Amino acid sequence: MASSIRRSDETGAPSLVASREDALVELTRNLRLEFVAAREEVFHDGVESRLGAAIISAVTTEGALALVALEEVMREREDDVEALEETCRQLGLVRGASTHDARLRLLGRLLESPQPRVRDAASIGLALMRDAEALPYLQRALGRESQAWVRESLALAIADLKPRA
Amino acid sequence: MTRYLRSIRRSRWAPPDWLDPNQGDLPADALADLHTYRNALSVWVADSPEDTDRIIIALAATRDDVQHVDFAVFDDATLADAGIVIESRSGETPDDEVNRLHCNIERLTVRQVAALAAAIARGDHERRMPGSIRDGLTDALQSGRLDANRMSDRLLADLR
Repeated sequence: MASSIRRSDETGAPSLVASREDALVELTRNLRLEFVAAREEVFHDGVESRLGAAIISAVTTEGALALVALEEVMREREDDVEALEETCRQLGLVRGASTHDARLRLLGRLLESPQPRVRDAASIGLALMRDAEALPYLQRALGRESQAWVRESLALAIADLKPRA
Repeated sequence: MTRYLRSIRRSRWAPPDWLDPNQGDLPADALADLHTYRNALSVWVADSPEDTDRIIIALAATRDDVQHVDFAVFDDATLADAGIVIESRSGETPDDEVNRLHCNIERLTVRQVAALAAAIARGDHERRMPGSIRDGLTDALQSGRLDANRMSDRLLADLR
């Protein structure tokens, strides 16, 4: 997704979308459209998707603001499980220290999703981040998880993030 | 009896709460893992745990990032009854040994896809996590099992 938010240039000309609120509205609208388009996508691990590219682009260019917009859209579309799974995986694959902590916290919250498939995907996203700071989120989720197959996913993610002997 | 491996998304095969697991049916989202091209699907012969490990690393080596790999290992017990024919076809991974284990299921019909889905559902569904994939890719590169020239620059940079 090409960001349509225009910022001040180096000459100090005023930005066309000045406020954070306006930027958030526009980001949310763009991501919402990507989620609508994603209903026609078939996602495969290891294969780039349009939705995945849009998420990585938004988070890379707009940082934490994109995560706020993304969480809002994910809340609105809580039944679009395939798109939500893809989002969790992509959040784990984004490179960039500036959003690392916010992505980790967002994936931690997604471990509380009512959808088991989203909880599973959030465990993958956290494992992809390769940060032991995810362990408390995963351990708490393991303690409350009702689905055996998701418990297995959480245990795998915990084992993967623990320091290797 | 031969065991076959196919890459899947494990979560698509998990029984949702609206589907009685005793009904013998599957959630339709699982069909996304059986997307045919020219009426064919790709599988790998995985008759030993060693073959399985090597196939998984070879599949991971075709990607742009170090990622988890979900897969199913299933047997061919019911496939012949459904008229499913599996033919050896060279694979396209950076591991030539693994490429010899690749097969196509060709001339598939909708009824045969359903039979294949049932066989996969009865199989073992597993996940290899990114950390073990990273270790496996590094080992395979160092031992020469993987041809780095056939791997993406991004993946190789990620492994450094």
